[in-house]
Amino acid sequence: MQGTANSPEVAQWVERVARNASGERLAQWGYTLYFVLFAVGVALLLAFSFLPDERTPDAADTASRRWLRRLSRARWYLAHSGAIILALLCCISQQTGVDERRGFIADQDKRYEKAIRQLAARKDKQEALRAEYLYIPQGNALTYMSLGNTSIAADYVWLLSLQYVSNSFRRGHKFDMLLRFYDTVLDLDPHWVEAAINAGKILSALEPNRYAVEKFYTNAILKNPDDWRLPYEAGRLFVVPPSNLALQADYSRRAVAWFNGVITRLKRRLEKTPASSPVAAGTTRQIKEIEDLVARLAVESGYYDAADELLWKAAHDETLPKAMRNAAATEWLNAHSLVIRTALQRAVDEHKKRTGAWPADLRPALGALKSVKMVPFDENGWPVDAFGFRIEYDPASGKVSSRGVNAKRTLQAASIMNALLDLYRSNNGGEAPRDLAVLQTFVRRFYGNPANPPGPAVLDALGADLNTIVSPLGTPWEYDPKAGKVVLPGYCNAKVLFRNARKIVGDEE
Amino acid sequence: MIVAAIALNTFREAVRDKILYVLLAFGTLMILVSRAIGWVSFGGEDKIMTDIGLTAIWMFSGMVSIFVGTGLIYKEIDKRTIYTILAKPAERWHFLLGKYLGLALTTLVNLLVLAAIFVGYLWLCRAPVTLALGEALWLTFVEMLVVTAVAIFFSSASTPILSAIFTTIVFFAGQLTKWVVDLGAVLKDSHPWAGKVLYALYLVFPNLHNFNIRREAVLATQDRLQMAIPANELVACTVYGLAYTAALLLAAHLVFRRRNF
Repeated sequence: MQGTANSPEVAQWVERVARNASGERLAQWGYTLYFVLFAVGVALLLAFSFLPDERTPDAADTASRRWLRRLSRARWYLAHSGAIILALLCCISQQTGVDERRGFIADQDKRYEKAIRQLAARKDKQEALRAEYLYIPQGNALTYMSLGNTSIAADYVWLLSLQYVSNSFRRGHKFDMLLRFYDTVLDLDPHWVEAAINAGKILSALEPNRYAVEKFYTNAILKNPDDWRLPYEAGRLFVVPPSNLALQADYSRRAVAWFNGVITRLKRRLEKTPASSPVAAGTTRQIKEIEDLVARLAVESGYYDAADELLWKAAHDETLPKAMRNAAATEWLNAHSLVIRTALQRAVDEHKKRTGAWPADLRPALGALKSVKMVPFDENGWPVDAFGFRIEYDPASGKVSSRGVNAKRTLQAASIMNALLDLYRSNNGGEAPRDLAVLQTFVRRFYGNPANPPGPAVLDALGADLNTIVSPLGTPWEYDPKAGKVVLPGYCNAKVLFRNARKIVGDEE
Repeated sequence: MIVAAIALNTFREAVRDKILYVLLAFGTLMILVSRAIGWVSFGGEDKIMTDIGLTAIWMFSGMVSIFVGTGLIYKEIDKRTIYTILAKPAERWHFLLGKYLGLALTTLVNLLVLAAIFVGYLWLCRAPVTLALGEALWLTFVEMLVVTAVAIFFSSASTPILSAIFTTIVFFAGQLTKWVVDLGAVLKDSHPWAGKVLYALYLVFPNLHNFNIRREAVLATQDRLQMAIPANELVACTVYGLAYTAALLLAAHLVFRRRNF
């Protein structure tokens, strides 16, 4: 034992010893009680055999004789009590023996798992899986077994699945059969949406492959086509950023598709609900919230036009809370800037295709902006993004960019950079890195451990190569080694950057 | 009047039967335990509770119909009390119908007691309660009317043990007749006649699955809906149950009128 006298290890050890000691004390008391009862039982039987069977009173009886006669009347009670006690003690003795050999339910479970493991070692994995499958009856079989009471059979399989999940943690996170359990629940009670939702949540927590979980939801949605909650949950599956950032756009696209389905269903429900009912108000609010979510996801999935329209609508919706309108306006600045940038980039690309060279400036591409609503221009007739910055153009590479969009990304990336600098300091005795190259070496080593992969936010900020040198602005990060923080340009400031959002919601100071 | 007198007497006799109270106690226990089973679950606690409660009521009402119903007529014959009844200006059908109605009343009271405990418990646990549960309970009662008629039919022709066995078989098989037709479809290629025979059996056997709307009722209750199935379907199931009951009682009378004691 390495711990000091006050360390948690020592405390745990002391607790364990105390627990064992109390268990032993309890067992000793148990043995004592057992032998006391045994003695009582034997004594009662002996009393029965020694007491004379004399019930008829006699006038010539002495006092002691009379007492004996009285006791004699209870002779059979003594015999019965003694025999019952001994019989019960015999039962207890046999039961403890059986328990020792057979164990309790948990031990039986362990033995079963051991047998399955042996089977897997002897034969192939499929065989072991089949043997384990025998444990769960099929939906059809359960329908007959429950005499058509499929709802209660579904409850049974559901409870069984929860037990399976908790046991699986003990088994080392093997959830091979979980989907089979949930499919059986769906077969037995296809309209038990709450179980389907909870099953999907459990699956999404345990199954890293979102597409497999999506299949389960699709199955449930096919059985409940009008229920909005299932597509909503299916959409939520893809709101969490993937660990592989290459999938981000697809995740967002899928989420948008599912959420659009939710909006359609909710609108259908709204049509059937009287306008004065509280349900109608709740449904309207839900629709707005999901539309807002769809708009944000649309930006990530590249549907800038859709996002532009939805966010503009949300930012001007007086019925929404101010905070939500503010957030929508902020996101709209980004989406609208992206719409402008994309239109210009497309026109520049077409120019290159047509003439074989990038245009010298953006003038030949400006015609493309006619199809875009609300494009601001500065006094020189140069397009400006929604944040209020001139659209930037590099004639050497033909790349059009929005400073506002990049600044927004830089702002988010800076918070990750500063968190990584703090991490460096806590791992190096409070010392800040000399430069960002040192930080990059540290970060790559830190996340190089397969057990500790970088999260989606880190990957989004630094890229897959964990580059801590170049910022999303395309220029190197400015670093202050004394403060141990990255320094941002003046315009990368939330107050400056989002001033137009405050104008939109009428919150201008 | 005679029928009512026999029915009331049968009811009084049945409520003195200890087995009724044992079944009632077990039914109540099962309803009360349902909450604890719901606690084990992750979500769906109210649904599990309602499921168990409705199933308990169905199961124990079925047991009352089978175990109390199958002994009633035999007991009268065994104790020779039937002679005193039939010696009065009472026909055999009076006796049979009276016995049936008495037992139906017993089943109704049993069901109402269990239903009151069930609904009260749901209310106490703040689980949703809607009229959909009433629909399910009503059809359970109609199902029990059929099962009671089956019990009376066998009881009029056989001993209590055999009657209990036969009625239990009909009770179980009646829940699954729907799937007999599916079995016929499976056997269609290998045994073309099997499908027809099984379909005929399906039509003759009482289809007790008609009365099982427990799943629909539970889901409707969870969604705070008042109707589990449309009213016309409820009426159709009720008419089916009453017609089948009438057929069984007529068949029972046919057997009973020729019986020598």
